[in-house]
Amino acid sequence: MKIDDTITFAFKNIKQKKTQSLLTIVGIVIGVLAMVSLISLGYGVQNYIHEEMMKMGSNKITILPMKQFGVPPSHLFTKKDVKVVERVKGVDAIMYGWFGSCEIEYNGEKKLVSYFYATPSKLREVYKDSGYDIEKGRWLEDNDKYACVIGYGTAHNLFDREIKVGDVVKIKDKKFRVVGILKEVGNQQDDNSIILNIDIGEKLFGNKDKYNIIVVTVKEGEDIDKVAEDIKEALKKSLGDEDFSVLTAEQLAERISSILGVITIFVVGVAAISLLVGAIGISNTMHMSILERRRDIGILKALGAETTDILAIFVIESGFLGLFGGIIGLVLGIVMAKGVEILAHKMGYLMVNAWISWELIVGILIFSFLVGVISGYFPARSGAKLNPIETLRGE
Amino acid sequence: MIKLKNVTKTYKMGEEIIYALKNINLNIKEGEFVSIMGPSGSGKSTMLNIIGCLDKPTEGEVYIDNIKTNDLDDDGLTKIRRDKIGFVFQQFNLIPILTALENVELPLIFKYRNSMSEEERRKRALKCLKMAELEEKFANHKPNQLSGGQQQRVAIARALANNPPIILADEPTGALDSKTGEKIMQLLKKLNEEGKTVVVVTHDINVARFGDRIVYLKDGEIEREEKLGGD
Repeated sequence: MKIDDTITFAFKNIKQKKTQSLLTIVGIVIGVLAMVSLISLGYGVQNYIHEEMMKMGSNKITILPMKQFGVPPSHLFTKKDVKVVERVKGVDAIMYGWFGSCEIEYNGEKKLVSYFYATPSKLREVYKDSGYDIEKGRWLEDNDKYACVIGYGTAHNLFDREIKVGDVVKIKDKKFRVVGILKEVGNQQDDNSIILNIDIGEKLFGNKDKYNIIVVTVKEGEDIDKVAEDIKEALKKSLGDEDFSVLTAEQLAERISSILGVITIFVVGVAAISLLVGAIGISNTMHMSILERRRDIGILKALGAETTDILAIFVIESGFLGLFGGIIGLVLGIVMAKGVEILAHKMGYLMVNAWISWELIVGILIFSFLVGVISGYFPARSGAKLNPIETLRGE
Repeated sequence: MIKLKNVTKTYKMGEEIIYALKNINLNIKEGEFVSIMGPSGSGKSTMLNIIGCLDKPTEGEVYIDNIKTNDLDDDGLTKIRRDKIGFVFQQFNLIPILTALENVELPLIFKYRNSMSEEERRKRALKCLKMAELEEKFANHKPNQLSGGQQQRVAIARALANNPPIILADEPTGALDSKTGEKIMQLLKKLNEEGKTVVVVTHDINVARFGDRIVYLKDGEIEREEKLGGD
């Protein structure tokens, strides 16, 4: 049998039993839909974070007082550690400070934001071309006391009434005047933030000479990985342990990506289970369909169809069921991912992006066709092996 | 053309062995029209299946057009069925989702695959429908839009598609009224006169009488043979 004849025959069979075919592919549609939207969003977020990280500065090295994310630090950095890092060859600007979260009060409302304090001049030097631009007002100066700069989200989205430059917010009942508002960055952590001067911050949160982040920039022409390595060595000697991380932007991005990658794989794995159920559905339909068409199989065999012809007819039929399900699932999945993206952007979560690529589309289509072929293969093989007289006699 | 030599077919039913055919010897010459008669359970369908290479004998030898079919594997038997034999069934056995013409094209597809153009295939199929005396306007009808007699004509056209020397018919009139049945038998007779070897299995003596010879089967054995006069 010619391949296009086989395809025509398979199509006619699918068309013949529309309802059955439709119900069968619903399983595949749901599975593919779930997989496509989750892969799309998972990778979208990863890509966004990676890009943002790179934008933040490929010449920066971040030093954190813990070996891994999520593990509470065993010690914090002090001025002494800052000096150690500062002396490493290749280090240009250095900034140290503290980030955490706190409640701020404005207009009688209290909201949780992430706060960060550092020496304003040092902060500006390190982040001078990293997208932390002022939308309104001005940056903090080193001699500012009860003044603050707030993130875009804090100003515009968090409180019922927008905060304007010159307004006053309260942290731990201390009043701070807002002197500047940052431009939108695109993720909640950075946008719902407040930045303070280090002297006030240390006093307010009671962390004198304790820092949980050091960021340095590397002099132009220096090898960033080499500098990072040297910082590591110097800190190891000075602290006497290795309970800290020295991360370049690239490494930082990779760490976050790998965590998100694991989550993505897990979630997609769950979605794959629904696809498996869909595959079993196809298998079942093919089984039923072959039982219904035992007589046809017998006739075809009597007319000179070889076992492989019969196999091809049914396998291609189930392959197309899989493919149809895949196409519908793909379209719905993309629509859903895009919908989530649009919705998330409206809510200010700029990091939620739908990642759609040709690899994803072609990959999913091939995959769903194969799922169909594989789930149809075993019923088809048993059908193709049927003895023609038994099928013809079974009236 | 067809030769059965000491053919025995047994089935196992639990411990018991059932003889469907016992030591059958039958010789059908080229161009002959043979009717096989017998009550149900006499083994006539088993015999037709063995001649038609749909089934293999337990013992004995089967020759189709001088080819010994005992030694052939499944694909070998498939090729014999495809090239040497045209089947006509009681229930017509057309593929319901295909049109009359497409049903007739099927054997051509299986035989020629890529080597025959679509136009050629259509032409051949239309010619076969004409030989089976089905009006051309029915060519694109689905089986369920055709009467029983018309369906059987499509089935006969399909049997003719690969121009096989042998036509095997299993109760070809069983699902038809007697008038239509007679017309179908006349068609088979005409094809026989044009050179086809025809074997018909039936329990209807009026059908059997169209043959040159009637072979009576009983309990898996040839009870007797009757040569008919006429030509």
